[in-house]
Amino acid sequence: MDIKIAHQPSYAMAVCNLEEGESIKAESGAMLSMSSNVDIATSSGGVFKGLKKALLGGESFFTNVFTAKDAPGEVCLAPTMPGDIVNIPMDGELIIQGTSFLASDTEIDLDTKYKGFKGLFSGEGMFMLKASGRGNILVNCFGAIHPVEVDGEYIVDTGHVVAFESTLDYKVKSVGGIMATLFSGEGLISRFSGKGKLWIQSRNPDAYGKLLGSHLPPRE
Amino acid sequence: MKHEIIQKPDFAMLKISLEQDESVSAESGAMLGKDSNVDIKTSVKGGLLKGFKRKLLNDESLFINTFTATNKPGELLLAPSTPGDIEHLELNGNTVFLQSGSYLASGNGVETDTKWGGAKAFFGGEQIFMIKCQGQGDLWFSTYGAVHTVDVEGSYIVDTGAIVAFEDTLDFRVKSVGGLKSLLFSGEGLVCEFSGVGKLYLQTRLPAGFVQWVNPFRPQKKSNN
Amino acid sequence: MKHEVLYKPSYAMLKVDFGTNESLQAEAGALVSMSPEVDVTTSLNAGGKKDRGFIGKIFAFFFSILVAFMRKIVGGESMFVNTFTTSADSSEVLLAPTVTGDIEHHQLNGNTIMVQAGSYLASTSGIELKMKFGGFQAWLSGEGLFFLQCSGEGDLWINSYGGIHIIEVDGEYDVDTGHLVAFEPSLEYQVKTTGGFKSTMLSGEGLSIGFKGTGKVWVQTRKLDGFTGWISPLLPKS
Repeated sequence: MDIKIAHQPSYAMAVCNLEEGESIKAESGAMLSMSSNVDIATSSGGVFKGLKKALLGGESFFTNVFTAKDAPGEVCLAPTMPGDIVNIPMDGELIIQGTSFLASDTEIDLDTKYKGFKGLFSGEGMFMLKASGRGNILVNCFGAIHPVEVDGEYIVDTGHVVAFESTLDYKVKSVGGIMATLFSGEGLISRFSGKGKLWIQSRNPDAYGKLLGSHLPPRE
Repeated sequence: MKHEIIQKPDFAMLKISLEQDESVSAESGAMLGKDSNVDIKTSVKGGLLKGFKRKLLNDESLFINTFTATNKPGELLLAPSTPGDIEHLELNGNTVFLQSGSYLASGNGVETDTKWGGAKAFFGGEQIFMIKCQGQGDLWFSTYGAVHTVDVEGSYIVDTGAIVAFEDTLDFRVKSVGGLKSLLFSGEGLVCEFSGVGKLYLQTRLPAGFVQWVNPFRPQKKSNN
Repeated sequence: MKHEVLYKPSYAMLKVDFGTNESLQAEAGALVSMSPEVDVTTSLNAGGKKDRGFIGKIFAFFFSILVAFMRKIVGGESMFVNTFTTSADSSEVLLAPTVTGDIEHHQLNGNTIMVQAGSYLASTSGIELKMKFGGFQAWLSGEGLFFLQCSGEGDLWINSYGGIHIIEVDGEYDVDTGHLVAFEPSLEYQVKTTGGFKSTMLSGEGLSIGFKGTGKVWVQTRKLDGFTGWISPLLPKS
């Protein structure tokens, strides 16, 4: 499999060239285009412990597996949000903000019931995935991707967290007391400690969604 | 008329320098700035001038503004509604199909037909449709996301939301992907299979995906009990 | 204080490194990340910090709530600002606006620049912010025409939705209000409809600002209402 990321950094798209018989799994809705000999199968059970639609605010976490049949094939994948895509080769564990998952090798295990994160993130449809195994994982972000090597402590607005190595400890709290939580505009913040790599996105999808939503007609 | 596309590729803007008495047509709402001597006139293509609210119009209409430089040359800056790029095509008697939401501007020699047979086939009842553009002159369109050009040779399948424009040398067939289950869960709705030889212009972000994402952020209507 | 704008021009993020005797003010909601020892205090962004007596302070408090409230509904900017200070020699703060686009740094040396309320990102303590009303016509249209008159000595950062483009006005130039970011006060300005009343109703163009004179105008290559106008008809009907 050969993955090239085109149109970086703002409207990045992953161009995946599959050998005959090779597969890649991707978030539902990520396909932009593909060669006609590529098959799609939808997977919702088994390895992916599906979350109820209600918990995710109406969005369901389903993935599609694309397989090139009888010949090599091409699949172009793009996320919903503008921004970049990063191809992270992993061998271990990575915690990823749910909406940032784009695609991965089929050998990577995705656990959507990662303990400790449910309920801490109050944003729309925010949840965390634990990816484990060996292979490539494609992560997208809203805005530019900014890697940080944490060695000590670092504080990040939760909406800007894309992914981090599981070697980092982290706590979610509010910034500057009740008054600040209500009025400062920052929702929750994450305090990372230890040693490991952290990926930040330079825009907050939750805040952007709220801003756009406030300019749109109300719904029933 | 001279033109320049600035701030490519992310938030591209079109700068047009008009000679005295020269005019150019542009999508309504696209004006960013202009010299004061550039006049503006509105017309509706493909339908009668009925009603002020664009969203009440269900037929295939395009609101077009015509900008003319009076008394001396004038500059006009045009910006599309969506984040993304702008592409320029020079039509020389050939025909190009263009997604209505992507139309930005065109020169006087270019005709835009909104009522040809296949106009509504691509987008399943949404308020966008395919425009048939033909004639001589400049055509500018915008993309939601980056513009990705594909030289089709044989056959190629594309999510219809990604289609911006294509040459009429290509045959097309709109269909649903992967069976009923895939339709419900795959997130992909309609796809278009292109065959033949020709250029296909895609955008690297899908409007439907973004709209689905932003929908829950809308305020909820309060019910009066 | 060291500062750098990263990831220009589309997902720009401001990185500031500062120490004990320095402070930074930023629009609420702009915080991306910071070093752990940085302190954040929240206050109302009503502009102008003058020393008042007790009664004066009470009056100023209620007035500032009113002003900040008005600013919120019509300016698109949130009511509150955060002030960042630190106890360490060097701390880092990363700031970004909500919308996608660019950030530009302006060094003010006693000069003034008029900034569209929603385009203000951050400034240092030497910069004074005074709110100015753009005119009733603009307010009634919902376009929210509030300007922040920024003056003083120090650093000012403004952000744009989309890219930032400079227009050197020398004569007369019209700019769509949704695309305006900032302008030099040497220019005269007047809010007007684009091409007459009939045109405004049908053209889809909103209001424009007619600039006269000589000076710089900064515009952004996208506007929020344009994008939401594009999204609206695509929304699900139920």
